[in-house]
Amino acid sequence: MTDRLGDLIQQCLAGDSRGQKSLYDEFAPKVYRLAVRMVGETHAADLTQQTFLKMFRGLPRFQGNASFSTWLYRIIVNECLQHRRRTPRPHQQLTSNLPDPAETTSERLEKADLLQRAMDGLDEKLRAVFLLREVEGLSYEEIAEILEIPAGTVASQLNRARSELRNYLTKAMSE
Amino acid sequence: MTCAECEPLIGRFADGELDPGRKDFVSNHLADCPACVAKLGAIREFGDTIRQWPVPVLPAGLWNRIVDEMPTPAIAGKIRPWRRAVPLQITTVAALVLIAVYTGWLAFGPDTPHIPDSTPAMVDLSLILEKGIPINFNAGDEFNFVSAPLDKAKQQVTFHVFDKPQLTDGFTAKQCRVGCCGMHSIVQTEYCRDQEQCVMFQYPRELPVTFGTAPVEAVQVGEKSVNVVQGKACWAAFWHFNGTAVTIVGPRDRAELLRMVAKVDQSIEGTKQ
Ligand SMILES: [Zn+2]
Repeated sequence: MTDRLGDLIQQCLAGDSRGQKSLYDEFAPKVYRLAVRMVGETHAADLTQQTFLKMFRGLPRFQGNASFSTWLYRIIVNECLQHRRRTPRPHQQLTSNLPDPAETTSERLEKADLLQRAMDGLDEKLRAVFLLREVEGLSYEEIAEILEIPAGTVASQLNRARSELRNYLTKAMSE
Repeated sequence: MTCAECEPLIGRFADGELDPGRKDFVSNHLADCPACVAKLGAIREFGDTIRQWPVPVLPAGLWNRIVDEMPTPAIAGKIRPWRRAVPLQITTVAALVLIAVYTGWLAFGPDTPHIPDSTPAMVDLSLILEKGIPINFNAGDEFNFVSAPLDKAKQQVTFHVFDKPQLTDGFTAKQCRVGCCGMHSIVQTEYCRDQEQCVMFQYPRELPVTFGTAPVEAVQVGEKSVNVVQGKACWAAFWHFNGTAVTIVGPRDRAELLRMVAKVDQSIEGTKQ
């Protein structure tokens, strides 16, 4: 943990609202981005809100032996998985994820659109693993810690996610 | 190396997660195999495409919504580490945590100490060990439990779950619930045999579970070291592997408890990925 982050956490523990806001400013964009990719824009703000409330409530028992961001990712991933349990598919199509049509070729747009659809069809846990790797850029070990699964399982779930995406795209493009 | 050997490694190769030896094997194979190169290309393209999606803009006003929902003490500067907020004496801590865990079961007087919002989600089993399992027990309100059939419960958490309806000698699953405190998920299953009851908790090993002051003894079950706790009313055991932790509480017979441990452990080990 960096000294700065450690200081921010200490400020939060002391009830300093500026420290709380700084922690939010630093981590909310990532948390929100992951929530949007996981459940769509409609519910992402609510889940981000819940995540920060739980984080602040749980901060006194955060031991510092795990990474803070690992812990925060774990909270948001759990929130998203729980949300998906409460509101099963079909969920909102994440159209806002698509690139701006003006900035892109039609082929790229088509591929992005297909990938989005393929992602929508992925099992939630596979999607979480895939996003943590490809969007958040985390290592297998970090993902394993967040999802509380062995690193070997991360590898096999990523393989599964990628092969399902590939199968979907192959099928869609041949139609 | 054949394509069949190479294919499961392509993802790790793309992610830079292969050890040098296997990395060389894959590189050599890729040099001669357009089919595997295409698979590698597809994997990289997924990543590139998804990273080009526009970054969602954080809604304005979200911070204010969070502040509005925060308990007043946190804003007013009163949030404190819970260990500092309550006396450290173990019996007192246990008694306080019990209030959260057993709400609705035991009546407490009006001078009951207030549990701060920052009290950690923790499972306290000391009262069960002392008095036996109450009706409608749950591991704590913080977990927001929902009922789920065993097979569904298993799909809802990221750790391994014993999902057999039978524990040992007639102990049958009566109810299973899944909960999450935001930090950790937990699966709570109640097993019954006539009037006897026991409860099994499955959770990530970081989730704190306390047994109060009951004596704990390390016992070897098969190849595993298991902690066995002797209470006045019943026995408990807890152990873990691979990030998953299991606690069984309730049997009145120590030998029965150890049979349960062996059965659960074998079954979960069998599902190890
Ligand atoms: Zn090949």
